[in-house]
This record gives sequence, structure tokens and C-alpha cells, in this order.
Amino acid sequence: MGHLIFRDSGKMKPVLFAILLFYLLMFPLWGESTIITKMELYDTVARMGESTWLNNGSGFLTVRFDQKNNKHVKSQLRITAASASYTGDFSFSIERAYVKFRFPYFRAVIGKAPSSWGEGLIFNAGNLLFADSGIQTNLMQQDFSGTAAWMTGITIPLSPFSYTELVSLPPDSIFLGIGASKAGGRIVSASGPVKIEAGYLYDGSADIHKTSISFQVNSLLNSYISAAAYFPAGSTFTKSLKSSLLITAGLYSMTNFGYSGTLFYRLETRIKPNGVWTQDDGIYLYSELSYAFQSGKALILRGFISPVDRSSVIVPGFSWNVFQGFTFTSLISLGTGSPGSTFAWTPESTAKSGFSLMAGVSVVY
Amino acid sequence: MVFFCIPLFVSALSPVEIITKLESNLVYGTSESTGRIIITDRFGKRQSSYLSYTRGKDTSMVEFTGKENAGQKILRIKDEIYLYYPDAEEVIRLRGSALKQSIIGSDMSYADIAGDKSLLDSYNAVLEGKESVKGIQCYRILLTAKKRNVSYQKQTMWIDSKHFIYVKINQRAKSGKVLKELTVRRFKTVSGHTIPVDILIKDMLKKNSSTEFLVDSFKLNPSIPDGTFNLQGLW
Repeated sequence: MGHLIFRDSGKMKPVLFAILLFYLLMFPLWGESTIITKMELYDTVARMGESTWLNNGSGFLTVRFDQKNNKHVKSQLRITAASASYTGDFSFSIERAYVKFRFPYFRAVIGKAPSSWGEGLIFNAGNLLFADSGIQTNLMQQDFSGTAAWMTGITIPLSPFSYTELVSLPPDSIFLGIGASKAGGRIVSASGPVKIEAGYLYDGSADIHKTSISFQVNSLLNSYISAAAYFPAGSTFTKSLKSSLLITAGLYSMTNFGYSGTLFYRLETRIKPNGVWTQDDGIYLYSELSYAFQSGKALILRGFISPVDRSSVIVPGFSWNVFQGFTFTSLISLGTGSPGSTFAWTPESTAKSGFSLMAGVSVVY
Repeated sequence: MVFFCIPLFVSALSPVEIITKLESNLVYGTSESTGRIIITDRFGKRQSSYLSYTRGKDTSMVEFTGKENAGQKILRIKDEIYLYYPDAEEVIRLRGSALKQSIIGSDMSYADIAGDKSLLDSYNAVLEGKESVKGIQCYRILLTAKKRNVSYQKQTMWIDSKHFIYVKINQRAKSGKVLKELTVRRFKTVSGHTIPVDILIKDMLKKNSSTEFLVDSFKLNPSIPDGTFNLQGLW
């Protein structure tokens, strides 16, 4: 959604013209904005299916315009171009285009903006606005970016750690009527070591009422839990609760380790208590361990585990911020399951990879 | 003779009073500052910049403004610390001890920017004497940790006896070995407060490694926008 994809090089001219026009239109903004360009280039070797090896070059270019010098108005335009040698496709997308402004008693946002409800990085049942990517998340990416959508929202602070937020999201397609809009809100409050969030969203496109509750507790352990249930209009409460209940939970820790090193650990789980505990449902785990040491170096270990079919994907790697704005990253993805399992070494689908090795760089300027 | 000795005796400060004066010099009603952190290692220099708001002793908001980590924020209210990562739109809530973490791989911790509890809560202070550092008359104070969960078991501080600001700090292991050396190269006086605006931190265990902490602008008691120190102000 929001992407333009081209294969035919004959269509390059209008694209280049559009880019030129865009830059000319944006030029007057440059004096009042910070322009941040991030280029990520990767070379990946992957084993697809049983015996096919693939070597793919891919790149992402993100240009970001951040408004500056105004304490009360914040805006951002972020455009991303992506290309891959394997498919020959390239795409452009507007990742973010929003204005946030602050009045004395409330703050508002309008445009294509990111928003994160609930608690959790990979598994987050409380994120009613966007379904989390879950086990489809690409663990080979350097960072995990939040999802953005067109919205209008108002946030009203209640205390330093409490606020309420009301949002309205237009339909995903112009061909859908106003009845397909989404609207809802959440209330967030923190007291002592406990942070609580309750959310509600009506999704007009499916005529569903979505509800969630999340807790974060920071005492001996930093931990969180979110639960969500969806109620289609006219359905039985108990039946809908039972069939849709989704629980995600996690814990994390950030501590000093060794001489001037920082160890970060996160463990998350996604459970559908009344789901069918097969590959497509039931329970999954996400684990992440990273050790940052010696100015800009980090060792990374991430992975998904499917306890039901005892398969996992393990992603060890290394990143190094060598020079100003220049980071080298290398990651390996290794599926350990048997054929047919969620994270198989030899996936049945030729579109999936059981092993891949990626090395690349990112440059920010 | 006795007449002249009495004022001298009365003006002598205890180490606790010296530390208290040092800390009160560094606490403001509100402040707004911008600055840079320059990390040097054998591959060259890397620079980041920040905007910081503080209120009192334990309320602060630091936003990184450099291109590599633009928009990352640290909100601190008392022992509540929230780290905000704009790309992932994620807020990580941490407890007070996380203030000891290194900032963007530098030799500085969040506590250095955001402030921390009184040194006297964590250290016993002993006045070792008076010394001149770069021509500035200083009290030399030895701090010895009361607990094990501090970053440095011992610290030697040279504190300007006139302006009550540290001029040099040696942060030591329990054995006494110097791990890091902090030197203030430039000060600025704003409304009676003396503020270090150019600090060099050398990691004595690494060759060619240092962090420069430069304050480019500093406003004392400015008007700070409503919502700056709120959780919702992170987004």
C-alpha cells in the first residue's frame, strides 16, 4: 500500500521527472528543515527451498525532512526507495508525512504518522491500530521500524505519566465509504512501577469492536503483558472473547556488563489460548540479546522459536559504527526445524529461505 | 593571633559542604542547552548533538539532534527513565540504575547529562587537601563508594574553591587505578552559576579514545513548553 513498483525501464522517465519535481517543490522547505538521508545496501546469499542458492543485492534509500526551530509544531516527510537485483523491481513509498502540533491543553497529529499502542516490539496484542508483523518480521533488518497510517488524533495529558488519546483513521481505500473508517482511543496511566493502558478501536471495514489492556511493570524485572479481544457486531460476547483472545508478554533488561559494555536482553511471547496450536496459531517466542561495547560495536543474537513444532530461526550477527554515519552489519539467519515446520532448514516453499548470510552497510548523512 | 585564626577556622568547609555547594551550583530552576558529543577513537571522530531541558535536580528531557540518532529522547522524572526510539516508535521504561549506561557509545553516561542523585548518597567524601590545577586553587576530595553498584569505586575530584565547580575528576577502580580522567577545559558563568562547557573525558584503558562534551548554548531559567516533561511529550 502506498508503493509504486516498476519493472520496465521504459517507465524511468516519468519517475525521474516526478523525483525532480518533488525536489523542486521541497526546495523551499530546506531552509527550515533538517534533511537526513539514510542509504542501506546489502548483499545476501540465501538458500531457497531445497537446493537453490540465491545471491541478491538490495538497497533502501530513505530521505527524511524534519521541521526544526519550532517547539510547538513538528512535522516529518519520509520517502523511501527500495530496489533488489533479484526481482529487478524498484519502489517508492511515502513512509511518513505528518504534522504534530501542541496547544496548552492537548496535542494533535494529522497525516501519515506512526503510532504504537500496547506493549511489545515484535509481538504486541495491544496494538489495535496495526496488527503486528509477528513471525513474519524480517530479523535480518538492522532496526525495526514502526508502522504508520493516515490518521487524525488528539492527545490530552492528564499527568506527567498519564494521558488519553483519541484517533480516527480513514478507510484503506478511497472506494470504501466512510463507514469503513476506524475510530477509537486509549487511556494510559502510570503509578509507581506499574503502567496501565486500555484501548478500544471500532473497525468499520469489518464491523468489529477491538479492545485491549496492557500492563508494564518495572520492579525487579522490566516486564509487560498485553491482551486483546475482538468482538464482531452482533456476535456473542463469550464466544468472541474465547475465539479472539490474544495475549502477548515480554521482559527486558539493560545492564552494565564488563568494562563500559551494555547488555540488552528481551524475551517476548505470543499466545492464543483458545487457538489451534498448530504452525499458524498457538504460541511463539521471540528472543533478543545484544551486547554493545567499545564505541559503536555490538554483537547481536535474535531468534524466533515455535515450541509447538520445536523449530526456530536463529540470527547471530555483528554491527559496527566504524565512522561518522557509517555502520557495517553482518547477520546470518539459520532455520533449525525439520521440513514442514514453521522455521525449517529446508522450507517446502521455494519463496522461503532456510539459511541466509547478509553483509551490508548503512550510511547516514 | 587568635583573632586572625578564628575567621580562617570558620571559613574552612567540610567535604560534605564542598560537595553540597558543587551540586547546588549545578542545579537550576530550569535550563535549556544545546551541545555536542565528539567521540574519538583510532578510526577518527564521530559527533552527535543534543538539546536538553532540565527542571530542578531530577527532571530532564534530552533529545538527540544529530543525523544518526535524530529524535531519540531520554525523559527522566525522579527515578523514572523513558528512552524513546522514533524509528521503532518504541518507549523503553527503565529504572534509575540505567542512568549509568553509556550514551551512544561515548565515555559519558546518561547521568552526566541528565543529572543523578547526590554523590553523597553513594560515596563517603574525604577532604585530602588543597591543590592548584591549571592555576585554579582546588579542594581535592576523595570519594569512596558506600555500595558496590556504582560505576566507580573511588573518585578523586578537584573542585574550584571559589566557584565550586569540578576542574578535574579521576574515576578509579577499587585498587585505585585510574579508569577515566575528566578535565574541564572551559567554564561559563551564567547568573552566578559556573557551568563547565568544554569537558574532555579520556578512557585510560583504551589508546586514542576520548570523548569531548561541548555545551554550545545554555539558558538559565527559560520558559519551557508545556508537556516537555510528560510521557506524551515523547511522541
